[in-house]
Amino acid sequence: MEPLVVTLLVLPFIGALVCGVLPRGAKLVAALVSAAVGGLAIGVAWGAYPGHWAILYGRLPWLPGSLGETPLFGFLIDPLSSLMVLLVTVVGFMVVLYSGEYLSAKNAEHAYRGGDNRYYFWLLFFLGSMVGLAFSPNLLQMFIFWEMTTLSSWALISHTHTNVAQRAGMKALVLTHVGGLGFLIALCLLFVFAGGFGFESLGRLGAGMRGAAFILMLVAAWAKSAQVPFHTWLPDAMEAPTPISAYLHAAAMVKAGVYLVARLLTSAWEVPLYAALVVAIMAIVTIFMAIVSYFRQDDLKRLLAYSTIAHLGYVLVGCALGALGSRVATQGAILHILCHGVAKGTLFLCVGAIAYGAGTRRISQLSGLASKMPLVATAFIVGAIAVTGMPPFSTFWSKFLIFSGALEVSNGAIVLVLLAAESVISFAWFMVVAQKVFLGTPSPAAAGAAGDPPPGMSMALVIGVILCVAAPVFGVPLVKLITP
Amino acid sequence: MNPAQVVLIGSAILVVGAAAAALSSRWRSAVGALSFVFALAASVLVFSAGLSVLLANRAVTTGTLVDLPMVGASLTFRIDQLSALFLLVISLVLALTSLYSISYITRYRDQHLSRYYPLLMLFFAGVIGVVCMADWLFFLVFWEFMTICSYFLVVFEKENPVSLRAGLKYIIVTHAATALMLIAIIAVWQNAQPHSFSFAAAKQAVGELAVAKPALLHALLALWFIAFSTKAGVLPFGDWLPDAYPAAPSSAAAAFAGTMTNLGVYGILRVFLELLPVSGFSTAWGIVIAVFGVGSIFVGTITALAQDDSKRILAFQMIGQMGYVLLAIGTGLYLLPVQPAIAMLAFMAAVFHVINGACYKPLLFFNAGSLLLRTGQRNLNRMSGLWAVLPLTAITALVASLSIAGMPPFNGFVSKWLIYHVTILGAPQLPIFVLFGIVALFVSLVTLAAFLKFLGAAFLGENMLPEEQAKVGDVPLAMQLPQVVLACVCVGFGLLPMLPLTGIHRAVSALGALESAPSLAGLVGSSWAGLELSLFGEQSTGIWLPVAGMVALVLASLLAYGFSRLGAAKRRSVAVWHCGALVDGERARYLVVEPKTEPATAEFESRYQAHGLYGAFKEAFQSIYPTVKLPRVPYPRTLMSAFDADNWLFQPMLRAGDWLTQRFSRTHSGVPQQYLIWQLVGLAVVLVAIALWAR
Repeated sequence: MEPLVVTLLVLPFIGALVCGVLPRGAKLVAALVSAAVGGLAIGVAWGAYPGHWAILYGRLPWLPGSLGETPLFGFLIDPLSSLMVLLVTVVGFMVVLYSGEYLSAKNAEHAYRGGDNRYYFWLLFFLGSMVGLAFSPNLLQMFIFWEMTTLSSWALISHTHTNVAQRAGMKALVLTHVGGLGFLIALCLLFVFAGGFGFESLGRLGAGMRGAAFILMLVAAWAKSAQVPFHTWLPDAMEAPTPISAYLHAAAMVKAGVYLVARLLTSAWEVPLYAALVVAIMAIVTIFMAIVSYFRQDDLKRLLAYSTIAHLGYVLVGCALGALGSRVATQGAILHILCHGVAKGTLFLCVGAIAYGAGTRRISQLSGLASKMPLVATAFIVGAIAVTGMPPFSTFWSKFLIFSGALEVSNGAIVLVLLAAESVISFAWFMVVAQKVFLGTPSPAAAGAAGDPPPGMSMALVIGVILCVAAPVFGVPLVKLITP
Repeated sequence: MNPAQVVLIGSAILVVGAAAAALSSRWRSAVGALSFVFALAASVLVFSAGLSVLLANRAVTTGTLVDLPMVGASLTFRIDQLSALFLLVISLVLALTSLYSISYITRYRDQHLSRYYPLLMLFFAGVIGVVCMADWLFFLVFWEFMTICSYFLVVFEKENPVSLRAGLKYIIVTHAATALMLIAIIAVWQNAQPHSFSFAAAKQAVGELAVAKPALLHALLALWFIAFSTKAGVLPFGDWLPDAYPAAPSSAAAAFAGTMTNLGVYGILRVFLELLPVSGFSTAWGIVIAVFGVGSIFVGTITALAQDDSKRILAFQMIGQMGYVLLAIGTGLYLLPVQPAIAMLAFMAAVFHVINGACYKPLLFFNAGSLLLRTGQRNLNRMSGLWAVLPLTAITALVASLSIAGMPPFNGFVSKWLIYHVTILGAPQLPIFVLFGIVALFVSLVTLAAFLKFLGAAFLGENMLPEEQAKVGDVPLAMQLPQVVLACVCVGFGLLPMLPLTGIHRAVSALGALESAPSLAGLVGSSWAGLELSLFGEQSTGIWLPVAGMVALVLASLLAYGFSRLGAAKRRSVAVWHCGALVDGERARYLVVEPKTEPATAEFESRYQAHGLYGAFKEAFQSIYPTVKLPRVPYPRTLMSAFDADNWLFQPMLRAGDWLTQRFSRTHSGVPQQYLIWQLVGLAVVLVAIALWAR
């Protein structure tokens, strides 16, 4: 088990270096590495199930007392981290597979020439960082990988090096990094007052200090997960190549924030009541801010970005309900990380395929694409009903757990009604958009579009569609193990 | 192999058939026949399974197929008598619709058939799944599956903006209704100990809620009722129906009319008769459901009168007919605690009306489809005289119209007759039911009027088709056969009501609330010749003898014919006779003029044109079905700026930081004296601080 886990973390970084220097064939190396990482992750998750498995390595001898004596870095494999690693590696493989053909001169939206080394270096670097973040046994290691993902996000958003892309990359970097300072301060508080970086050390703090540390880390999580008021970077980050949006800004990086909150919650179950209320209220504000913004979006990717913001809000609502005493809602929240990740990833890849073929992602310019791109149309509609929670697709199960958890909490019925309303509205709007884009008389852009995307991209879409149904099959058994 | 497993195999055949049809959809001429083969196989299996369950009068189950102990759900095909009854109807509609589609769908030359046959078969698989579930979670899964398949059938003409709009309205409204049902299901799941979705657990939870939290239970019942009546097309929730059904291809609309709308009733029966214990809840909800039923009867049927589109007339009539069903269910629920025998009869009447509806409603859509195929028209103003060309369609349309209008001896009459009975017999408990019964009775005439318009406009008058088209004759055999079969069923059930009622009695008494219901003979007598209602002891309260009546009618007709032969009566052709006056033929013919192209003058209205009929009625009830124009809400600017946190939060912060650093950089002036002053001021501050601290 141990060599497997170490390989799982190290392999992406080696792959990144190789991809960075290889004169050609970076995409092949990246595909092989990501496939291997995906396979390893499945093996590790399978091997660790259903127990907790931890191994620690490096120590920091200059730290005082016992803290300096015990190893600090390594791997913690439990249901939560298994779920997260499965998500980032499987979607990572899909995205690398997809990128191979997307990043070509044939792309009708933006002809990509060169830059493969850079792209795959950062992509695999990000994959490795995300694995490290998910496996972190304590907050210190998590913070280090946390900032590494921020860095790769910056590099990948500004991949095309246009002015707009560079601005968007810088904005994302600044906002997530400044939020990340909250994490750093919280780490200092934990080090000084709790004498450790462990997830459970939050519970050792006094009541007031515990609230402060939690809120500081919450700020970091908000910034990372693009929650109000830090939501502004995510729609702008849609300047990134679409596979990057699918991966970093739907499935993986933005999930780091909510992963942190879920981690804190499930390790100590000691989140103060008022902090839970703050989380819940801000999450609901975020959800409704996002949904009201849907109606103004003409860019498919920006629409999906707002939807991502709303769904990260869902995860936080579930966590907040968990902090208020509902175990089921916590499980739902964690399942939602996975279920939303695959569904939204699929949707982004569909939009990428549309832009690849038709050269635009403006809703107003697209119509009647279904006859040209039947596969993309099918995948988009499956993704849309999966992301809005139509049974039996992926997010139905997580939403169901969150909804039923809401009823376990006093006055939770209000949350239930609000979330159900959001579900219906977003379903309605996704149907409006899907109908506009895929049905009707073909628009000029659609009429001139190429057909379904090339085999690699199509394959990624098919995997996405399968995951939209299958994700809960391996997600539910994992989250059911998460109990206080 | 037990019947439940047979149904499972039938559904599997449909899924395989869908895949086969999808793969072969390129071959337009073959895919229809291929799909029909699969559909027929599935239909035969499902029909035989349903029949055997009804004959054995015992529920069967496949055993657990998928078990989800983590959420307390399990996928099991369980078929009780009520499911079996619906399965019989579904299998009939399945076979006939697939057969009809073979020829009908050739009409859509530009549409790819991969969006028709596979979805139609998956739709039926979903429908079959819904009635076989005994677990709310999987019920919901199949329910939504059915909905999404039917949505794609509604938008089959994907270039037509009207279809797209209708489809959107349909999917959004029904999905919202499903969300309401989901809330109810979650609440019940939450209250079941241990958490479980099974009907049995839900029943127990509802029973406990009825005692512990009556207000919550009322709210949940309301959610369920809204969800199911949205699907059934009960007004005002069924407002999507008049748009969506006409938009779908006629064959798909027939499938919806024969199966999907009825599942709304199926759901209501499950919730209010199986989950809900007989209690004050039944009484209260009985009144609510009856009121919605009467509202639908009245509004739906009268609005149908004003329609000029053949399929829209049918759609509104479906709303009206669903009202009859709800009225019967409401009456039954109200009477359940006090008069179980009449209540039982009411539920039987409701289910009978559903089954009758599943015969004549698809038939009418088939008729409309035949007209559409041969004329390319749905607008009744532009059709006339098709009897000569489509005699078979005309006769079956006549049968269906008389059935839906409740004319004896067709099947619609029997169920409506029972419904009038129970409403009037329920009056001693609550006098308002008499009013309901009278409304139902008179609105039946309005239904007849609407269908006279349909029949008159389409089939009577001068033949509109040019010579060469008229020579083609009636619609192809694959379209004739389903129409004939359904017409025969309409007549058969009308003449032998005991046949369906036997099955219905078994189905309804299988529901929890009616386990101790009176026997069939005690309710409607035991004679196969007709029905004899004796609800108060020995005294009979109503007798209907269709066979005897028909025999008398036939004998009288023969007698009349004999007289005419004996008297050597001559046939005379005369001009058109209009209310006691002869009208010249030119003015009286069924005009092929649209109201839009010609102003509605008095003369225009008086002509026999579909639009001109029932002018007074239309005027009187103009606002009964208001069309609400959704206002376009401009996106509020304040909201836009409020969401733009860049604008009011981050940019000001950046500017403030900029300003601060600029200010600070001014201290770097390069003048030594200034630095000296800074040092002195700093020293003073430090000294003061030390002094304060030391004090």
